[in-house]
Order: sequence, then structure tokens, then C-alpha cells
Amino acid sequence: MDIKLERIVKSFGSATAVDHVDLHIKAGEFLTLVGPSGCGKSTLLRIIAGLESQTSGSVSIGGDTVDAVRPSERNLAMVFQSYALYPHLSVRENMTVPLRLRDLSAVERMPLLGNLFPSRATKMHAIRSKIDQAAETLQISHLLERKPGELSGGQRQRVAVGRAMVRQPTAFLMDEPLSNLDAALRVHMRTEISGLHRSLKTTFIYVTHDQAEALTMSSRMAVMMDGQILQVDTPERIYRNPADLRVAQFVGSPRMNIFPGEVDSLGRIQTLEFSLDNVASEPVQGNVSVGFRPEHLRIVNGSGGHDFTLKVTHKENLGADYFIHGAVADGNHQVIVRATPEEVTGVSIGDELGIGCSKPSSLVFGDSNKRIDLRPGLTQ
Amino acid sequence: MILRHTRLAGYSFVLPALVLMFVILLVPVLVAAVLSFTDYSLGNSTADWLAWKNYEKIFTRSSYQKMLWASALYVLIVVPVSIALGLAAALAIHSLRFGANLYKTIYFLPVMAALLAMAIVWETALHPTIGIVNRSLEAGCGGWVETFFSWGWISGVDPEGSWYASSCEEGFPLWLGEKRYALATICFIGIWQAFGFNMVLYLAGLTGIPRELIQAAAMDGARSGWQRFRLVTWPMLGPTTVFVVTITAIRSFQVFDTVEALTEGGPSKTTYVMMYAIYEKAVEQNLMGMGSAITIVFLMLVMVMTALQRYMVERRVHYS
Repeated sequence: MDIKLERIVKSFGSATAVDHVDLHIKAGEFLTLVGPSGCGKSTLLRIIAGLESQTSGSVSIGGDTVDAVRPSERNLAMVFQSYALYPHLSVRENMTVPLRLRDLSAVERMPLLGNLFPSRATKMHAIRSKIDQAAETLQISHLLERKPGELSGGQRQRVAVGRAMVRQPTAFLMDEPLSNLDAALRVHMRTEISGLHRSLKTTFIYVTHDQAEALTMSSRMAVMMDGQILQVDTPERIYRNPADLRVAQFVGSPRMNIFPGEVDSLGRIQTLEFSLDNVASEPVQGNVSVGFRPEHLRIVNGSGGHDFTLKVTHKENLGADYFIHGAVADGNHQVIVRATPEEVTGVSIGDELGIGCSKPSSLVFGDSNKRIDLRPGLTQ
Repeated sequence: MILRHTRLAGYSFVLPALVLMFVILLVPVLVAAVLSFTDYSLGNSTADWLAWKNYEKIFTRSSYQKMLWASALYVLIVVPVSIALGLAAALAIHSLRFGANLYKTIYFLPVMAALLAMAIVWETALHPTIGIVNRSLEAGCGGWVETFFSWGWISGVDPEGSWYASSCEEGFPLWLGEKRYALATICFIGIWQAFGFNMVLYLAGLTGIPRELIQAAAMDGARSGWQRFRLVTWPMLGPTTVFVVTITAIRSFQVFDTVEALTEGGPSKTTYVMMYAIYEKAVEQNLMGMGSAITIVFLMLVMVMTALQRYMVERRVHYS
């Protein structure tokens, strides 16, 4: 079932947390809402869940408007950042809760009295086998009788997913579920959650501030900033083809290098000490921002052939790669260059390096951070 | 040598605390325990050893049986009612957007006021002829108030036989002077005084429940507030409840001011609670032996009750 958001606005007093958001989430996709903290992504998720009511706009699930439907009736499952497991119940009981509330009638749920109904036994039996099955999928069968307090962070995470999984909801809503885990486990759980999505084939709506999680897991990602969705697209296209300077800077680690540039009347773009081969396809003139990702810059040995020079301030060793941090000769701009270990042997802090740019990969942004399309220059 | 010196130093550091603990906490209880086996009176230089006679009286004489019964009834009524009211008030106040502090202050007023002073107010209010309670009730006779509270409008109820109608005929009760009403009235004042305290404790407990847990319950399909209360709020309040039950029970066992000021144990010992009995025997009649014996029984009861509560509740309560 598709989930559609139409012109959602949420304001808290005078502050606007979500500002006219339209979003169409297709059935079965893994959509990530990503953005810096305070951008309104969690609020948007909670509006979908029904835990927060929007100031205006409407949410529909499978074609039906659910604005007046309570969270308990929307058939969505949520995994909270704090996991929100019931601390007084065992893992099995935690996972039983949603099924008990859905499948058992009020009298069957009653303590003692409920046992008098033979239908309760058969239902409980069915619930039990569903939980055993889910526990097996998540490899938590051996933890079923423990209390959440006796589990590690990663195990609690799995239980929270399990509790969401057992009742086969329309969609899973996940609010930064990995941010309380340590780095290694976080990377591991990324693949697990992706795998879970592949096997369940249910819609996942996943909120994170970590662009790496968004890039690695999602089928589509929506980048949010200041309450607005700036771009919704596949991770590949968001990375290669950002529509907005803020998207370009947010997605990708380390950040994209941005240089100030200028467009002349012919559309030629000048930045630092060099100009780009391509020209602006629109008649824009004036100041622009020219962006190069660290992997689109390279160290040029010897004199000549470089586009600008850089004074090395820091060498960051990531094993397979090095990131060279430096200042451009004019002293105003910090740059990060990605290089191989071979290229940086002999480079030390304080050295002057010649840097070449992969000019076709440059991204140019004009006024109000909007992307400017480029086309091959006619003068070549 | 060094070891012995340090050990000596260690003991001398601990000694003052140990001495104080014995002298202030344990010795008085031991003295009471010894006195309870005698017929000692204050001022006498000697006393006779009675062995278990005082205790025998407590468990066989009808006036002491009434004492145990009055105390038990008082605790059994005041504890559950004041806890239920305190919890209900806390839940209601917790759900308020504004005005919570005002309600908290108002409900907490009886706790802050000295019970003895408030007992005098209640005595005036409950006075059979000039008290505001009976005057108000009498004012309702013959009017729509009587019609309503005679329940005649409920089918199958005879309005003539109702409490309100017959009281209008024969006069309203002497709240503190009739056997039927005295203990209930004392209980009412006890509840009035205690529930604000329980409310504050429960409010503190409620703020400790993470909001996400309640929301998780809503997402898991808990539709009604009652379902969310059963699933999350009540179990999460477990530790608070243990504390509230223990404190309220002990405080109820210790009720004294209202009885002393309003009924002095009467009528016919229906409000003769243990604290008042101790006061009457040991202070008014100078029967220290008997007073001590009741004190020891009182102490035992409170200890057994507390231990029982801890044992029963601890196994079921989750401390996170």
C-alpha cells in the first residue's frame, strides 16, 4: 500500500518543523528521511505514525486518508531510537503484545477469566508459533525468556525489530534505530536491516541523520533541511546529481569542496585560478559555487598541469585511502583531497602540492543554492 | 604492630556511630520490651515481673480485641482508598496541559496542615447541631435534594426507606458519637489527609515513565487509555506503589491526632486504635507495663506487615 503525504505542515508555536512536505512512498520501497538534527524528519515520521498531528495537510495510506485515524488503528509498526521495549516483560512477552492486542478479544485478554475461553488457547498457540518464527529469523530464540534489561544494545535492537515484525504491518517506521549502537555493530546492522527489507518486501520508512546509512540502505532517500524536502531520489542520483548545494554538502563523506566562482556573459565559469571546460546552460551571470568531491581532485606531481596549489595541513589515514586536508594558496579555503597511499608517500604537513580537478565532474550551484546545469563549451 | 594500630583507629572511628545507634535506636526498644513484662508505673522504684500476663490481656480482653480490630479496620480502609484516590488524582493532573501546579498545591494542603489543627476544624464541621455538614444536609430535606438522594427515581427503590429520607425524619447522625459512624468518619478524615501525599509520590513516579513507552503501546495497538495504563503505566509505577503502600500503611497504623481530638477512642471503643491505647495506658493511666506491651505488639505488627509487603511485592515488581 502506498503512503502519500500532501502539503504537510507542522508548527510548534511560531516555529515550523515541517514546511509543506509532499511525499509519495511506494509500496515495498525502503525510503530514508535523512537530514541534520532538527530538520523535521522525526516529526514527519511521527505524523505518519499518528503520534503527532499535523497542523495542516493530509496523510493517506493505501488511498484512504488516515488523518482522523489513531496510531493504534493505522497498522504501522515503529522501532524507536530508545527501542521502547517494555522493561517489565520478557522478550517473548514484548513480542506478544501487538498480536495479543490485535487478535484476542477484550474478554480473552483478561487475566484468569480469559483462560475459560477455548478460543484463547488456539489463538495463543498461533501467536506463539509466529513469535518463534520471527525469533528464529532474527536469531534471538535463545533470548526469548530474558528481560530487556539483561540484553545488550544490539540484542534489544533486534527485539524491537521483532516486535514490529510479528504482526506484518503495512509499513515499518524506524526512528534512528541504529544511533545507540557502537560503530562496528551499526555497520553490521545496516546489512541486516537491508536484508530484512529484501525478505519481508514491506515498506520501510527510515529516519536517520547519518548520510552513510541513507546511501547504503535505501531504495530512495529524501533529504530534508529546515522542514523541507530538498530532493527525493535514489542514493546514486542524490550523490552524483544533487539538485541543491545543501544536499551536495550533506551527502558524501568527507564533505564536498566548495569554491566561489563567477559566470561571465558567455556562461564561462571561473573559479580560484582556473576555469571549467563546460559552460552554464542557462543565462546566469554572477557569483556561483563550484563543488568538487574529494575523489574528483588528484595530486599532480611536478610543475605544471595542476589547477591550483594546496598547502597540506593534515593527513588522514583510512587504510585503503588517505584524505589530504589543506588550504588553498589564498588561505581562505579548506580543501580535502582523496588519494591512494602510494600518492602520498613523501608528502608531509606543510608541503605545497599541485592539485588537478576532474572538471567534467564539477557541480555548479547558483543563487538560492539551486544547481546549474552545464553543457560542453562552444569555444573548445 | 602497625596493623593493630590501624585496627584500633578503625574501631574508634566507628565507635561513636555504634554507641549512638544503640543508645538512641535500640535501647529504647529494649527497655520497652523489658517493661512490657512488668507492671511498672512511672515513679515507682520497683516493679513486679508479670511474664506474659500483659500480652495475654491484649489477646484475650475484649477492650484490647476491639483495639486490634479498630486499627486493622482503619488501615484496611484508609490504605486502599487513599492510594486509589492519590493515583487517580495523579493521573488526572499528569494529563493536564496547564493548571497542574494549582491542583497539586490544593490537594497537598491537608498534608501540610497539622492534623490536630485540622481535627478541630472537622469537629466544628461535624458538630451534630451547629456543624455545617448536618446543617447542609437538613437544608436539603423536603426539597429536590431529598428527592434525588432518596433514589426514588431509580425503579425498584423505595424512597421512604432510604438513608436520606429516614435521616430527615429522625435527624442526621452524630458523626463522631455513634458506633455506626465514628470509625468511618475518622477514616474519612484520614483519607482526606493522606491522599494528597500519595498523589505527589505517584506524580513523581509518572514523570519517570518514558513517553516513548506509551507511544510504543499505542503503535502496538493499545487503543484505549485503560489498555495503555495496564500495559505500561501501572507496571512502571510498581516501585512507587511498593513505597506508597508501605508508607501509607505505617502512617495509618500510627493514627492518633484525630482520635485524641475527636473521639478519645469512643464510642464503645470503636475508634480505640493502638496509638491511642498506648497513650491512654502509658501516659494517662501511668500503666507503663501495659503501654509497653501494646507498643511491642504494634512494632511487631508494623514489621511483619512491611516484611510481608516487601516479600509479596518485590517478586512481582520490576525495578529497572
